[in-house]
Amino acid sequence: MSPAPAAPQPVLVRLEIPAEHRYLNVVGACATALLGRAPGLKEAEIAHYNIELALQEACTNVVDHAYAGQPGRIVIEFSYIEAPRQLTVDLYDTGRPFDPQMAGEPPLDEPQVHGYGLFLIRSLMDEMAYESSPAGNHWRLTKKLW
Amino acid sequence: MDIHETQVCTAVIAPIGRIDAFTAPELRAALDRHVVAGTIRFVLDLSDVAFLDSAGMAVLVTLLKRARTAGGNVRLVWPREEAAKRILRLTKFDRVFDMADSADAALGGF
Repeated sequence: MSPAPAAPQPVLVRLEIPAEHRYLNVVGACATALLGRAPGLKEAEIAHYNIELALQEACTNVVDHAYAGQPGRIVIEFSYIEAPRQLTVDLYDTGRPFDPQMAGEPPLDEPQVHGYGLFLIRSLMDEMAYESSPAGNHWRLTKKLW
Repeated sequence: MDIHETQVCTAVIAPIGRIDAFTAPELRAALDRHVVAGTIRFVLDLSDVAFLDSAGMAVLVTLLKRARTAGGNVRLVWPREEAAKRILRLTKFDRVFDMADSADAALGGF
């Protein structure tokens, strides 16, 4: 009897950037480059854009609220798996913990200056999780791909 | 004879490229210059905007509120990028703002 085929191993990519608005476009570009080699992705340009936007919002949140203008670093770990096709992105920072009071849904029928960031992450990704520990903050964003 | 003349200007602003947390302050500053000069009608032509995040959206909404408070308005031209269009629909920007398919069409609506 032949052994069961090994489970597909995720492709791991690790990135570390200064927590500054200037460098956040690197994160989305990395995700787009990683997914750009995924064969036959449905509506690839839409998927790339949505993931890039969700990552931009998550990192902006870290820069603006966790570090709040103070210098810091963001570690981003991409984990891409083919079957089932899925991208998981873990973001780590050592800034202030996230305030759950910021997590409310914006009333979209009235124009809002703030509040779209988390709404976009939730809407564009399949899962969004957050945990705080003495070591820092950890966000996990997951997107199922077809 | 007295002649009272009033000229109402509409500013057409066409950012090109990426509007995100890094570049949004530049757009905000450009718009502020028009607001300070008294402009209350704006066409924001997003045709060539390849990416728009919530920091960019905040700039647009801030301008809309200031313009409407002063009796004016802001019209948006749809971005060509389909993914960006979908985000404007998702956030209901297409209901909050008056939308147009071109800058000329937007100007015609004023």
